[in-house]
Amino acid sequence: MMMPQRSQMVALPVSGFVWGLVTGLVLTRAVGFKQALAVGCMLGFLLCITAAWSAYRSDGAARHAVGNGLFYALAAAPFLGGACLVLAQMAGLDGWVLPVWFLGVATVLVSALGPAWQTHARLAAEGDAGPWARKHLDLRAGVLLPGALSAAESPRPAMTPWQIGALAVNLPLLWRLQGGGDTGLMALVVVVMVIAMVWVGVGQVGPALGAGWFLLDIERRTSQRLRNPEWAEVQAMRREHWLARRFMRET
Amino acid sequence: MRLQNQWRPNPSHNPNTLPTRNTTAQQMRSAAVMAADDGQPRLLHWTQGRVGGGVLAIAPSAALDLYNATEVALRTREFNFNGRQFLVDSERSQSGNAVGFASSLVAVALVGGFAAGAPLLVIGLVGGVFVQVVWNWFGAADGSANLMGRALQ
Repeated sequence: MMMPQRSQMVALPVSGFVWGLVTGLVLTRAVGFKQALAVGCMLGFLLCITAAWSAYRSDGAARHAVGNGLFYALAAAPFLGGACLVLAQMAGLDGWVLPVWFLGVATVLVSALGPAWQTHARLAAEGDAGPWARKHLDLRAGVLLPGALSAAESPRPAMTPWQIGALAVNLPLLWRLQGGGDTGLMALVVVVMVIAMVWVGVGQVGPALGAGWFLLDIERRTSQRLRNPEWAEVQAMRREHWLARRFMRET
Repeated sequence: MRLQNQWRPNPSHNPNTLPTRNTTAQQMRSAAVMAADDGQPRLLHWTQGRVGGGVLAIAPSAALDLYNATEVALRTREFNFNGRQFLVDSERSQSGNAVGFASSLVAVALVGGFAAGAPLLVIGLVGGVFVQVVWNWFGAADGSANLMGRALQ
């Protein structure tokens, strides 16, 4: 779980809206263009608002982890459901469209909520004085220690977004030059997407959500708000940003 | 050197190592990004920017379209370039490329909010491919090629 960086302050909400719109438009053949556009606009609006909250107003602590989990569920579950639905339509399995959509949605939700529940149960069993709490919390100061809400330290890949985009454009071209069809490529894409989403859910989003849930329990018991260790830096960045300074709160 | 100082809290004290005392997670992440960038071969550095990425996204399809629009008569060695066909084919392929490229960037920007590392790369990649395939499957690529064809008539 990461706090948005300066370059993401505008890109994250805008990307959220575009992602939601695309997710809705994917359903065009199943529900019709107008309905798909309406779903896309609604989902895009929800994602935009959630992303903007995360960028401008989140506390970077327990609520941020839970908000990120919600954001992930809103972004990934309908997208994977839509991808599975399109694959079923391309394969001519029109009767399976609805079950397949549910399967895609459930894959994302179960892979994130399962580890979240498991992490929360483990941390709750350890308690406030357990190894995790000793390593990640300073309850006297009311501060989370660095890494508290990161499931694992994982640096960004050694590729820039531009390189990833160029690769994404040229892979289908290479596939077609080798004689592959769109249905085969879509099947491959959906399988890889399922693996990646389960990977993110089990390895990153789920444990962070479980830890955030556990921290909310602690906050409720101790009646204190735990702060992010980078809170001062995050607020300084928000104060410097032209849009964030309009929507941020100082406390 | 100026770029290094953005993630190093006290660069003047030790130029060769990252000070671990008082280093925040944000600084560690930035250091990892810089180290990863620095680890790439020098020959590939031009691909890291938007211009390089854009060229890589557009050039292979453009080369294929150019090849398809060019006719060479073997006997007479006459060279004939069909500009209209090139523009129509380019519209068909490059519209999908643009949508796939933009989708990939959106996916990376969005997923970067809750994931990091290899999963981020994979989701960005398959997100772009997925939208491009859907674009073609919906007939949008052919539709934009037809529009271009009509505009050129």
